[in-house]
Amino acid sequence: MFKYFLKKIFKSRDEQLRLLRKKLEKEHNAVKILENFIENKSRDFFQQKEKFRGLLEAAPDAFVIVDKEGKIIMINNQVEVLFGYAREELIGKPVEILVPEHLRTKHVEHRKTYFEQPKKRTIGIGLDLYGVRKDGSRFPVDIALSPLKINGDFIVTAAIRDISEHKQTEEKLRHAAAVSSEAAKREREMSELKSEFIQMTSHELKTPLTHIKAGVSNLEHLKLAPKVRKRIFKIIDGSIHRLSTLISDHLDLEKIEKGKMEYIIKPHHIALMIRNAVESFHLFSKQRGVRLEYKISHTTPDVLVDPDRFNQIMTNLLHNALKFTPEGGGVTVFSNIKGDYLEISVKDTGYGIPKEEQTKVFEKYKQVKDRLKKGQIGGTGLGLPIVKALVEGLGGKMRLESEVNKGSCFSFTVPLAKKQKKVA
Amino acid sequence: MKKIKVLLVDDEKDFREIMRPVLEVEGWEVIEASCGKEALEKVKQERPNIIILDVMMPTLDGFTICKELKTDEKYKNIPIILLTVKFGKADHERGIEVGADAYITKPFETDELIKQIKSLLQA
Repeated sequence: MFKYFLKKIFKSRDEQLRLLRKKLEKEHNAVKILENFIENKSRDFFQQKEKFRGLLEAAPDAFVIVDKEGKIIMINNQVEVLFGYAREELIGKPVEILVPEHLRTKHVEHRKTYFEQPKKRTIGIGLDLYGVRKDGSRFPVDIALSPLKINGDFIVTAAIRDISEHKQTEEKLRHAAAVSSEAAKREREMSELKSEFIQMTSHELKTPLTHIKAGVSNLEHLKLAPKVRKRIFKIIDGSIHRLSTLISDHLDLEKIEKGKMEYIIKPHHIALMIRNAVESFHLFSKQRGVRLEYKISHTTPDVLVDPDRFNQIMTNLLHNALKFTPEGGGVTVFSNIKGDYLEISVKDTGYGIPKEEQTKVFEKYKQVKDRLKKGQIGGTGLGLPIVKALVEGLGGKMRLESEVNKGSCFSFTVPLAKKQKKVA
Repeated sequence: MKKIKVLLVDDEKDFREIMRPVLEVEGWEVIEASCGKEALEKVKQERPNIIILDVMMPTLDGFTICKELKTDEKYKNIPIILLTVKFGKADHERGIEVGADAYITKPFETDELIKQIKSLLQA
């Protein structure tokens, strides 16, 4: 009985052991499977991670991966190159480290808004975005954002492209375009002025030609009273003079502009030169009914001038003054010592020049253009530009004071031959 | 018979002086004006039979005066000859546009002007 009992016990224990072993074996297998599974999975993950990193490094752009809190969790090598940081200096830092300081607060706000509704988009198009390097220098960038969902949380990949070169090219292109349009504009203006100038000059040429042609025809075909004949001869003569003045004015201005005008500068007795110039207008002033006088002391110190150019200046100024002064008026020439210069003035009681036109009278094309617009004619319009250029060529300066209906005073300076003693 | 009156408008005194005997020899009375304003006054005062009008003048130019007269019932029948040194189609067209009866470019043959005046007076 006992034996039977014992036998039964052993049998059941064996059975139990067998069962237990079986169970253990099962579990072991499960663990093995799990282990394999885990091993495979982690290898997968590792492979994927490596694959991802490989892709990231191969990309031409700098990639910064940022978590929800704005911390940098991964970067590629381009970031190190572009921003001048080492990888470990960036990982775990807020992405704002790469943003210019004054924009950091704004960037945090933008980032938060983006995480509320993350979607693929490009920023920076039409905006001026900048990145900031470790050394503090800034550079223009374009940025593309793309969200990635991992374990229910978003991370964001930012592809950053340095567009300095692009910007520079753009700037260069813009500059080139501006330069060429400026040049085109200038050329257009010059060509307009030129054609107006030609039109004006052709008017100036044709007017005296008309007089000569008609005058000659009259003398040839008409029986004219001796007085009228004489008058027509005089008009023809005057027209020829006008034409030759026009031509020599053009030639002079051309010479001056090209720096080919020659000046023979020597000390000269100013009072004598002015007297000669004024006296040559004696007849003209009488015809015009305008009083002409000069108040230059014989003791005025000598000046350094080219006598021919000086005479040209005086002739021009005197002619203008007499031309633009009505009958009964007067023209006075006087001088003043101003430092190492002598200032000579030609003052008239004529029509005067409005303030807005006072600088224009010295500008060759401007004046011609304005006169053409207003339909005003007479004279070559080159007299005063020539005078100004000659005065400057002799080392002096030109000045104009004028008041409408009261008269004008054209003054110019010439260097004195001997430096003046300073008056204390 | 009443003398034909020719109004000669040009700001160049020399031109008016030279043209006067050319016109007078035809038996015409010559009235002069040296600017646009004076021209309009002389038209009203003298009622000329024909006007010779320079285009480029200070203040009022020839085109403006021509237009003004040609749009005025009282004066639109007075023939107007525009004189100009301006060249080019645009100016010629402008002359026609403002109603000028003839357009002569300076410098010109005096015969040409006389012929033109005569044909306009007969028309």
